[in-house]
Amino acid sequence: MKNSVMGMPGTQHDLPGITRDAAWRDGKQGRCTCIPQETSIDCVMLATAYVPFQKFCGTWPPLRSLLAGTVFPELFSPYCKREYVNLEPEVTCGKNPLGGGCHHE
Amino acid sequence: MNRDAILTELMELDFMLVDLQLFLDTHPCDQDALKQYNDILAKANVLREQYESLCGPLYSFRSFNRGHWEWYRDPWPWQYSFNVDLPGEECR
Repeated sequence: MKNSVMGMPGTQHDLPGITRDAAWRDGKQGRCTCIPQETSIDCVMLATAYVPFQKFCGTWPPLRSLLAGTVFPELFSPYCKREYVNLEPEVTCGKNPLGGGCHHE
Repeated sequence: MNRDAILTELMELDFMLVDLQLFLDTHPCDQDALKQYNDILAKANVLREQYESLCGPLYSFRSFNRGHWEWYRDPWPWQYSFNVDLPGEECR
């Protein structure tokens, strides 16, 4: 199996004011670059699940991490509506469907 | 910082450590994640010392007790009055 993953290298942050830089988002297309987009998987097997390999792309600040239940914004996918944690669009990356949760109406 | 402020920040940092630990289990050579884990751990350890000097032991088996066995004093960590409320609404 061959995977090719697009995205930019992870960024490094200091505590406690962890912020994301512009590299987190593809400037041209406003696309999340922290979630590896699989562009090809060769020799696909039946009955086999394929999961993109997470890459480190910074974290949320401490309190937001605890409230969201994860330090990784790209993993945030709440079952309740978005207002549970009032996340800034620039943090969750507007084009990331998971940023606002897949389960909201 | 008072007791609740220390405890809240400690909960936040310890949660980050748990989540970063899960990441590092599958990315053991990721230097950015490792640095962040170590930075947070150092900060959490400072807070742990602050808390214990102010309020007594956090753990039954890895905390120093001063003068007498402080651990038995109420409230214990699993009791409601030990804990603090976090800002934000409950999941509805």
